[in-house]
Amino acid sequence: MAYSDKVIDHYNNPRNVGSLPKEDPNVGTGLVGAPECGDVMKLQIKVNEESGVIEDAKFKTFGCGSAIASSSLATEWVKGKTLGEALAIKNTDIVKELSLPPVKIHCSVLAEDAIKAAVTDWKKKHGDGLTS
Amino acid sequence: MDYFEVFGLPRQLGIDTLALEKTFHELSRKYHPDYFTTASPSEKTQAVRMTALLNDAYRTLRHPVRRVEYLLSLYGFKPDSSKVPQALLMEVFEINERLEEVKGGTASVEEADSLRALIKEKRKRFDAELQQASLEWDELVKSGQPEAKLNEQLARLTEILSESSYIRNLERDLGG
Ligand code: FES
Repeated sequence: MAYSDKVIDHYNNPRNVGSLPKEDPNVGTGLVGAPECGDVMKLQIKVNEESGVIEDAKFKTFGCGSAIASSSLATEWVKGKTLGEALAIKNTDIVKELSLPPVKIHCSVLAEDAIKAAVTDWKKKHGDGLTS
Repeated sequence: MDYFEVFGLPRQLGIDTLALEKTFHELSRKYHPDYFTTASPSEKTQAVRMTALLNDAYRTLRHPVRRVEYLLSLYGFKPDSSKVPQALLMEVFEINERLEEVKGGTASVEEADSLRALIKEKRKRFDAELQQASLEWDELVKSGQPEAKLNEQLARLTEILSESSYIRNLERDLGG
């Protein structure tokens, strides 16, 4: 399969690889997996409690190149965004940016799911009714 | 015609693979192009189509995991990423992290061995669970249970199957 240049770039120089302390009350963790291929992805966000802005994001993905690129891009995109803005990121945006072929769409879905799961986790730590 | 029908089998998961192989060879002979040299073009195409279908059916049904996957697809069931249990993901993620260290050469020999044993154990448990649930499915079908019961079991099989690709990846990454 021919990966696009952007996928290769993220794959070779993934942005924001790593972990944030899971127990930190300001950190939300999303852990998702795609059963069709067995890839797993962890995406974490650190949220400023006052402004509701995502200050930092990290990911770690055990999976295909597209999944790594999608999650790397996702961490870049969510940084500096509010939770609401982060939730508005759609997998189709990722597909477009990385020019993913149809068979790799589920990899981008995984990244969208990971953002949602991380936000949900953060909200759970802060009581559901908070700003989004 | 679905794959079970190709072999004249009921939609059950307990399949005698030796018998399956035998039927496969018999049917392959029956549809072999050599027998159709004097047949009409439409009969020839039909025979070619049957041969292709037969090959797909055989490859799918002889494999215990693919067999279950196929059965589920007949009923519209499919492993769903939103239903993978969080505990499983956590475990898989952790094993992957340990595996990374083993591959990177920073882990001890004992760690590598214990990881290998752990993955082996997971495979064993998975195979046993799948086999058990497959047997249960066959029992339900044979005793003519209502659809609700069957669906319950299909959901159970789907849940078990969602673990399959994770284990396969871990085995692959471990290098067999
Ligand atoms: S192939 Fe499954 S996440 Fe890319």
